Amino acid sequence: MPFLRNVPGLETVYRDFAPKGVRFRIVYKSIVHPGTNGMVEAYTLEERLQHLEIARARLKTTVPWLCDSMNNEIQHALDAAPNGEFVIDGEGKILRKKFWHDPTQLRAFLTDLVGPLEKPTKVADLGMKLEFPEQPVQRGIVPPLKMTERMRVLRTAPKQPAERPDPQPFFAKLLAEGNRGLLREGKGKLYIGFYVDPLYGVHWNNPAGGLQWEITKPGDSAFEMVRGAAPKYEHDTDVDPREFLVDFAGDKGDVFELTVHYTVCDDAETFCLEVSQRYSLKLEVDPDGGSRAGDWMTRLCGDPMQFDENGDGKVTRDELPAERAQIILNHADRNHDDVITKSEADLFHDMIRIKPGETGR
Amino acid sequence: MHAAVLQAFTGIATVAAAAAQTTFTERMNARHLTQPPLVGATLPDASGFTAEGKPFALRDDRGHTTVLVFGCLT
Repeated sequence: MPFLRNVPGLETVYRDFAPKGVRFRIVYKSIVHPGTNGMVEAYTLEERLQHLEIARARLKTTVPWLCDSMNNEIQHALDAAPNGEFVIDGEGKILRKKFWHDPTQLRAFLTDLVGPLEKPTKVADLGMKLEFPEQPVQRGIVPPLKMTERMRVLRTAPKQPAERPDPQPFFAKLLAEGNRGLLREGKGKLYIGFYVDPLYGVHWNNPAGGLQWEITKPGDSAFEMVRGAAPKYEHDTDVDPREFLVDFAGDKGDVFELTVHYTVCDDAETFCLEVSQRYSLKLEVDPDGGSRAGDWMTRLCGDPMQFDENGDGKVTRDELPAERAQIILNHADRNHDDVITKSEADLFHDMIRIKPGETGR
Repeated sequence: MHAAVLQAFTGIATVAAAAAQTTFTERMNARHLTQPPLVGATLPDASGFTAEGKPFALRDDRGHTTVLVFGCLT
């Protein structure tokens, strides 16, 4: 919880320097992999704003918050790390940027910038206590899937049926990942996970049967449907993820349709719903996909060699995803010749301490 | 001659020791500093929302020293 740990420190800096005219903003950004307290990625701005509200309430910080746009415009424009920090002057010039926010260093910087304080606020003065209420429904019933290799988050998008006048929330949200074999050779392992979104205060209704899903390929009648089903569990309710690891094949960029069927009840037991929802699933790495190990560099670039489409042992700019090419080159192309060689990729892995083939979880 | 070699070796050893003592965060910060937008550059404009859901652009904070910290519930 690197960000959470630093919130009290940030609060002290805010309380000391905001009165001196310094503005502070916490930019609430996307989370793809399930975070603290089971929070999962927001699919709508409304959901992301609800996340922000929960964060604000639980962290008990008085620092003003911003919410990044659903296409992560602020994070991308600043090439910001998940807990990055920037100080900007009144003219809009960047005075300081840090890969990782550090309130102690920020305090020292601002002291140099605007002058010393008579009595700096200390964390102990705040009496802040992070609050994460107990989940009302059981967890730990379904053992988590053990992964033996690093997986890359795939591009997925929820599909709301056009005929529904009031869109039904995605009570459970999809996380899809592919291994190197699937992404490079077109044949490998596909991870499918469904995570109950705590925003909606619901749980699986196990007596109604296990979650089921199937993947089809629109327009390709030769594609053999891939499907999965969770077993029926003894416990009536839980909120554990439903996870699957299946063999899968497809070409890079292929788009599939995933349909999931499940039943949820609200925690107050006032309703139960049978839900069927659809997603598009693209065999392509989502550059905004998270890493369960919390490694931003991994989620940003992963193994650059995965983009070596022509298999010549190096990656050129035109082989990289256009929207992330510059950022990936910034981090991996050490001699700035717009080509990432195998040795540069290896150095990159050394830098982020993740070796090819190791899990990023 | 021996003194020069010893001095060079000591220098290399000092640099190596310093590199070994550099933390992962420090290395990432150092590398991050070389990526755009650079320190001294103008902050790119980008838009998001206030906590209340109203549109907000980074340029709205012009005229004030501003601290931006990224985070979420992790």
